[in-house]
Amino acid sequence: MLLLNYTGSFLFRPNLKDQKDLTPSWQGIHNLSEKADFTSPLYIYFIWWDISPSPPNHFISFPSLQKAMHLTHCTSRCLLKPKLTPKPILDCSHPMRTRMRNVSNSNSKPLAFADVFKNLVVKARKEAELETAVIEKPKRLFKVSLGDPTPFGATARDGGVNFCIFSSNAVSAALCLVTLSDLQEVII
Amino acid sequence: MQGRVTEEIFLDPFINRTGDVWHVFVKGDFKDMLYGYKFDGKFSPEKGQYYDPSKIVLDPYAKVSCVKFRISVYILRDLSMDWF
Repeated sequence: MLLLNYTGSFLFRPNLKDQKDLTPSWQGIHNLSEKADFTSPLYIYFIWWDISPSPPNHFISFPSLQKAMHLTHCTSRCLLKPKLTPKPILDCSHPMRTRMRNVSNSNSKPLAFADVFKNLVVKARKEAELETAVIEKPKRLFKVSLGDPTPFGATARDGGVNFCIFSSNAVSAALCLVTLSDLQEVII
Repeated sequence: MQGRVTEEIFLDPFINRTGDVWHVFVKGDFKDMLYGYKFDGKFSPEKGQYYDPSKIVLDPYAKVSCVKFRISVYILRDLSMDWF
Protein backbone atom coordinates (compact mmCIF):
# COMPACT_ATOMS: atom_id res chain seq x y z
CA MET A 1 0.00 0.00 0.00
CA LEU A 2 1.40 3.34 -0.99
CA LEU A 3 1.49 5.75 1.93
CA LEU A 4 1.25 9.40 1.09
CA ASN A 5 2.29 12.41 3.12
CA TYR A 6 -0.66 14.74 3.02
CA THR A 7 1.02 18.13 2.71
CA GLY A 8 -1.72 20.65 2.23
CA SER A 9 -5.19 21.48 1.06
CA PHE A 10 -7.55 24.36 0.65
CA LEU A 11 -11.06 24.88 -0.48
CA PHE A 12 -11.83 27.93 -2.56
CA ARG A 13 -14.23 29.41 -5.02
CA PRO A 14 -12.30 30.38 -8.13
CA ASN A 15 -12.58 33.89 -9.43
CA LEU A 16 -9.88 33.89 -12.05
CA LYS A 17 -9.74 37.27 -13.73
CA ASP A 18 -6.03 37.39 -14.35
CA GLN A 19 -5.43 35.19 -17.40
CA LYS A 20 -1.80 36.06 -17.99
CA ASP A 21 1.02 33.74 -16.99
CA LEU A 22 -1.21 30.79 -16.31
CA THR A 23 0.53 27.47 -16.10
CA PRO A 24 -1.16 24.58 -17.99
CA SER A 25 -2.76 23.25 -14.84
CA TRP A 26 -4.22 26.64 -13.99
CA GLN A 27 -5.36 27.09 -17.58
CA GLY A 28 -7.38 23.92 -17.24
CA ILE A 29 -8.97 25.19 -14.06
CA HIS A 30 -9.70 28.50 -15.73
CA ASN A 31 -11.42 26.73 -18.62
CA LEU A 32 -13.48 24.74 -16.15
CA SER A 33 -14.56 27.85 -14.31
CA GLU A 34 -15.44 29.57 -17.61
CA LYS A 35 -18.00 26.90 -18.37
CA ALA A 36 -19.40 26.99 -14.88
CA ASP A 37 -22.39 29.07 -14.03
CA PHE A 38 -21.27 31.60 -11.44
CA THR A 39 -24.73 32.15 -10.06
CA SER A 40 -24.33 28.82 -8.37
CA PRO A 41 -21.25 28.29 -6.22
CA LEU A 42 -18.42 26.32 -7.79
CA TYR A 43 -15.94 24.98 -5.30
CA ILE A 44 -12.64 23.36 -5.96
CA TYR A 45 -10.85 21.42 -3.26
CA PHE A 46 -7.13 21.31 -3.75
CA ILE A 47 -5.09 18.56 -2.13
CA TRP A 48 -1.45 17.98 -2.73
CA TRP A 49 0.71 15.05 -1.67
CA ASP A 50 4.30 14.16 -1.19
CA ILE A 51 5.17 10.52 -1.84
CA SER A 52 8.78 10.74 -0.70
CA PRO A 53 9.63 9.09 2.63
CA SER A 54 11.48 12.21 3.80
CA PRO A 55 9.70 14.95 5.82
CA PRO A 56 6.88 16.38 3.71
CA ASN A 57 7.67 19.29 1.44
CA HIS A 58 4.78 21.75 1.05
CA PHE A 59 5.68 22.70 -2.51
CA ILE A 60 6.46 19.27 -3.92
CA SER A 61 3.31 19.00 -6.05
CA PHE A 62 2.59 22.64 -6.40
CA PRO A 63 5.67 24.64 -7.35
CA SER A 64 3.66 27.73 -8.12
CA LEU A 65 1.88 27.69 -4.79
CA GLN A 66 2.48 31.36 -4.08
CA LYS A 67 0.95 32.24 -7.43
CA ALA A 68 -1.90 29.87 -6.74
CA MET A 69 -2.61 31.60 -3.45
CA HIS A 70 -2.57 34.94 -5.25
CA LEU A 71 -4.87 33.84 -8.06
CA THR A 72 -7.41 32.24 -5.78
CA HIS A 73 -8.96 33.87 -2.77
CA CYS A 74 -11.48 32.82 -0.18
CA THR A 75 -14.80 34.47 -0.79
CA SER A 76 -17.41 34.96 1.88
CA ARG A 77 -18.97 31.66 0.89
CA CYS A 78 -15.76 29.70 1.45
CA LEU A 79 -15.90 28.16 4.88
CA LEU A 80 -12.41 26.64 5.14
CA LYS A 81 -9.18 28.43 5.73
CA PRO A 82 -6.07 27.33 3.81
CA LYS A 83 -4.15 24.74 5.76
CA LEU A 84 -0.50 24.54 4.86
CA THR A 85 0.83 22.69 7.87
CA PRO A 86 1.93 19.15 7.16
CA LYS A 87 -0.20 16.37 8.58
CA PRO A 88 0.73 12.78 9.35
CA ILE A 89 -0.41 9.98 7.08
CA LEU A 90 -4.16 9.61 7.08
CA ASP A 91 -4.37 5.91 7.74
CA CYS A 92 -7.46 4.31 9.29
CA SER A 93 -5.50 3.03 12.26
CA HIS A 94 -3.34 6.11 12.57
CA PRO A 95 -3.52 7.90 15.94
CA MET A 96 -4.30 11.11 14.05
CA ARG A 97 -7.89 9.95 13.83
CA THR A 98 -8.18 10.02 17.60
CA ARG A 99 -6.10 13.12 18.13
CA MET A 100 -8.14 16.16 18.96
CA ARG A 101 -7.69 19.73 17.89
CA ASN A 102 -8.87 22.79 19.75
CA VAL A 103 -11.68 24.81 18.29
CA SER A 104 -12.46 28.36 19.14
CA ASN A 105 -14.32 31.17 17.44
CA SER A 106 -11.50 33.50 18.32
CA ASN A 107 -9.49 32.11 15.40
CA SER A 108 -11.43 34.19 12.93
CA LYS A 109 -11.44 37.56 14.71
CA PRO A 110 -8.84 38.89 17.14
CA LEU A 111 -10.36 39.43 20.56
CA ALA A 112 -9.70 42.56 22.55
CA PHE A 113 -8.91 40.43 25.58
CA ALA A 114 -6.97 37.26 24.98
CA ASP A 115 -7.64 35.91 28.47
CA VAL A 116 -11.14 34.56 27.99
CA PHE A 117 -11.83 33.92 31.65
CA LYS A 118 -11.00 37.44 32.78
CA ASN A 119 -13.76 39.40 34.46
CA LEU A 120 -14.22 42.80 32.94
CA VAL A 121 -15.47 45.69 35.04
CA VAL A 122 -16.67 48.79 33.20
CA LYS A 123 -17.65 52.05 34.82
CA ALA A 124 -20.58 53.93 33.32
CA ARG A 125 -20.58 57.58 32.40
CA LYS A 126 -20.70 60.24 35.10
CA GLU A 127 -24.23 61.40 34.12
CA ALA A 128 -25.72 58.08 35.04
CA GLU A 129 -23.84 57.97 38.35
CA LEU A 130 -24.00 54.24 38.26
CA GLU A 131 -21.34 51.64 38.36
CA THR A 132 -22.05 48.74 36.09
CA ALA A 133 -20.12 45.52 36.09
CA VAL A 134 -19.86 43.58 32.87
CA ILE A 135 -18.67 40.05 33.32
CA GLU A 136 -17.40 38.48 30.16
CA LYS A 137 -18.95 35.10 29.68
CA PRO A 138 -16.33 32.37 29.89
CA LYS A 139 -15.87 31.00 26.39
CA ARG A 140 -16.32 27.31 26.06
CA LEU A 141 -13.44 25.53 24.44
CA PHE A 142 -14.15 22.41 22.46
CA LYS A 143 -11.91 19.66 21.25
CA VAL A 144 -12.75 18.24 17.85
CA SER A 145 -11.82 14.90 16.39
CA LEU A 146 -12.78 12.81 13.40
CA GLY A 147 -15.81 10.96 14.70
CA ASP A 148 -17.57 7.83 13.54
CA PRO A 149 -19.97 7.77 10.62
CA THR A 150 -22.18 5.03 12.02
CA PRO A 151 -24.87 6.21 14.45
CA PHE A 152 -26.78 9.04 12.85
CA GLY A 153 -27.65 12.04 14.97
CA ALA A 154 -25.95 13.05 18.20
CA THR A 155 -24.58 10.16 20.28
CA ALA A 156 -22.91 10.63 23.64
CA ARG A 157 -19.86 8.44 24.12
CA ASP A 158 -16.39 8.50 25.69
CA GLY A 159 -16.89 11.84 27.43
CA GLY A 160 -17.94 13.62 24.27
CA VAL A 161 -20.62 13.68 21.60
CA ASN A 162 -20.41 12.18 18.13
CA PHE A 163 -22.37 14.10 15.51
CA CYS A 164 -23.28 12.36 12.27
CA ILE A 165 -25.50 13.47 9.39
CA PHE A 166 -26.11 12.36 5.84
CA SER A 167 -25.81 14.84 3.01
CA SER A 168 -24.76 13.74 -0.45
CA ASN A 169 -24.91 17.06 -2.28
CA ALA A 170 -23.44 19.36 0.34
CA VAL A 171 -20.10 20.91 -0.58
CA SER A 172 -19.28 22.18 2.90
CA ALA A 173 -20.75 21.71 6.33
CA ALA A 174 -20.48 23.28 9.75
CA LEU A 175 -21.75 22.19 13.12
CA CYS A 176 -23.33 25.08 15.02
CA LEU A 177 -23.51 24.99 18.79
CA VAL A 178 -25.81 27.50 20.43
CA THR A 179 -26.29 28.04 24.14
CA LEU A 180 -29.73 28.71 25.50
CA SER A 181 -28.80 32.29 26.27
CA ASP A 182 -27.62 32.89 22.70
CA LEU A 183 -30.75 31.39 21.20
CA GLN A 184 -32.82 34.05 19.50
CA GLU A 185 -36.23 34.61 20.93
CA VAL A 186 -39.29 34.36 18.72
CA ILE A 187 -42.07 36.78 19.59
CA ILE A 188 -45.52 35.45 18.90
CA MET B 1 -33.30 29.37 14.46
CA GLN B 2 -31.24 32.38 13.42
CA GLY B 3 -29.00 34.77 15.21
CA ARG B 4 -25.83 34.30 17.15
CA VAL B 5 -23.96 31.03 17.26
CA THR B 6 -21.85 30.22 20.28
CA GLU B 7 -19.49 27.95 18.42
CA GLU B 8 -19.25 27.09 14.75
CA ILE B 9 -17.20 24.03 13.97
CA PHE B 10 -16.31 23.69 10.30
CA LEU B 11 -16.16 20.15 9.00
CA ASP B 12 -13.32 19.28 6.70
CA PRO B 13 -14.79 17.54 3.63
CA PHE B 14 -11.71 15.35 3.50
CA ILE B 15 -11.50 14.25 7.13
CA ASN B 16 -15.01 14.62 8.50
CA ARG B 17 -16.79 13.02 5.59
CA THR B 18 -16.99 9.32 4.69
CA GLY B 19 -18.79 8.97 1.40
CA ASP B 20 -21.95 10.99 1.81
CA VAL B 21 -21.96 11.00 5.60
CA TRP B 22 -20.54 13.93 7.56
CA HIS B 23 -19.32 13.14 11.07
CA VAL B 24 -17.41 14.81 13.89
CA PHE B 25 -16.60 13.97 17.51
CA VAL B 26 -16.68 16.87 19.95
CA LYS B 27 -15.53 16.99 23.57
CA GLY B 28 -16.45 19.88 25.79
CA ASP B 29 -18.99 21.44 28.07
CA PHE B 30 -22.42 20.80 26.58
CA LYS B 31 -24.47 22.22 29.42
CA ASP B 32 -27.54 24.05 28.10
CA MET B 33 -26.32 23.55 24.56
CA LEU B 34 -28.32 23.20 21.39
CA TYR B 35 -26.93 22.18 18.03
CA GLY B 36 -27.71 22.57 14.38
CA TYR B 37 -25.99 22.42 11.04
CA LYS B 38 -25.10 24.81 8.26
CA PHE B 39 -24.71 23.33 4.82
CA ASP B 40 -23.61 24.80 1.54
CA GLY B 41 -24.16 23.35 -1.88
CA LYS B 42 -25.71 24.07 -5.23
CA PHE B 43 -29.07 25.75 -4.90
CA SER B 44 -31.41 23.98 -7.31
CA PRO B 45 -35.12 23.94 -6.42
CA GLU B 46 -35.93 21.60 -9.33
CA LYS B 47 -33.90 18.90 -7.63
CA GLY B 48 -35.29 19.82 -4.25
CA GLN B 49 -32.06 21.37 -2.97
CA TYR B 50 -32.39 24.61 -1.04
CA TYR B 51 -28.90 25.10 0.34
CA ASP B 52 -28.42 28.32 2.27
CA PRO B 53 -25.23 28.68 4.34
CA SER B 54 -26.72 31.52 6.35
CA LYS B 55 -29.51 29.37 7.78
CA ILE B 56 -29.11 26.86 10.57
CA VAL B 57 -30.92 23.62 9.88
CA LEU B 58 -32.09 20.92 12.25
CA ASP B 59 -30.77 17.39 12.50
CA PRO B 60 -33.34 14.94 11.09
CA TYR B 61 -32.22 12.41 13.69
CA ALA B 62 -32.71 14.81 16.57
CA LYS B 63 -34.84 13.50 19.40
CA VAL B 64 -35.98 16.90 20.62
CA SER B 65 -36.09 20.32 19.01
CA CYS B 66 -36.98 23.45 20.86
CA VAL B 67 -37.77 27.07 20.27
CA LYS B 68 -37.57 30.03 22.60
CA PHE B 69 -40.64 32.17 22.35
CA ARG B 70 -42.32 34.98 24.14
CA ILE B 71 -46.02 35.67 24.00
CA SER B 72 -46.81 39.31 23.37
CA VAL B 73 -49.20 41.24 25.59
CA TYR B 74 -51.93 41.55 22.95
CA ILE B 75 -52.50 37.85 22.82
CA LEU B 76 -52.81 37.66 26.58
CA ARG B 77 -55.47 40.33 26.40
CA ASP B 78 -57.43 38.27 23.86
CA LEU B 79 -57.18 35.20 26.03
CA SER B 80 -58.52 37.06 29.03
CA MET B 81 -61.52 38.28 27.07
CA ASP B 82 -62.61 34.73 26.35
CA TRP B 83 -63.22 34.19 30.00
CA PHE B 84 -66.00 36.72 30.27
